[in-house]
Amino acid sequence: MNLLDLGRIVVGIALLTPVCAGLWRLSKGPTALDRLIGFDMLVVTVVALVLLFSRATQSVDFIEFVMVVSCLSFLTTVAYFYYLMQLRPNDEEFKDSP
Amino acid sequence: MNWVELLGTLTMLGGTFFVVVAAIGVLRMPDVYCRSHALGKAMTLGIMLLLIGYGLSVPDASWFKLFVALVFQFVTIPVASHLFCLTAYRKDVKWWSVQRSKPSEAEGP
Repeated sequence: MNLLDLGRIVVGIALLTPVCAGLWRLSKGPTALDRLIGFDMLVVTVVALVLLFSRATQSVDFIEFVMVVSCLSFLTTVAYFYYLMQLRPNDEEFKDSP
Repeated sequence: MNWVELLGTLTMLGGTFFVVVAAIGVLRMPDVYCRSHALGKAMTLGIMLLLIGYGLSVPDASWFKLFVALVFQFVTIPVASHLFCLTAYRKDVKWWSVQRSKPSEAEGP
């Protein structure tokens, strides 16, 4: 096990933190916008994990997957904002009491 | 182990550091505005460093596709982060202030 393997293992273990943070924010978020922040963090973490996997296997096939996933994430976010903009300001999706 | 591969691994470690910083910000910040701030800045820098590190450490990777993916991440994540703040401001989501955090401080010993 040389230094590069050690760096790869450190990256893989440290990327558990954004997965846990995104899932926690997705389940505990006080408003709907907090849940959407958790979803966005999960998608970017998926991109990071795909990059780590294709760096470990030295493959070049997944860079299109990165582009498609970021495009789909942006379209999902914009569509959900289009839905949220049509609600009233005192709708219960925006209440911050738990 | 050549030097380009070592540089790629170091860049990926730096990107992972910024992604972890963004995760801690999303966990610990008190407000929607602060959370979208942490997501939009640290996450963009972290994912860009991860893409550059991947391109450095895999010699067969096409730099054009990597550049397209990098520009796409660089455009979309700050726009989404701006949309969080815009929606929260238009819909009157309450923001965190010192007055709201004072009672929890007064309860302490």
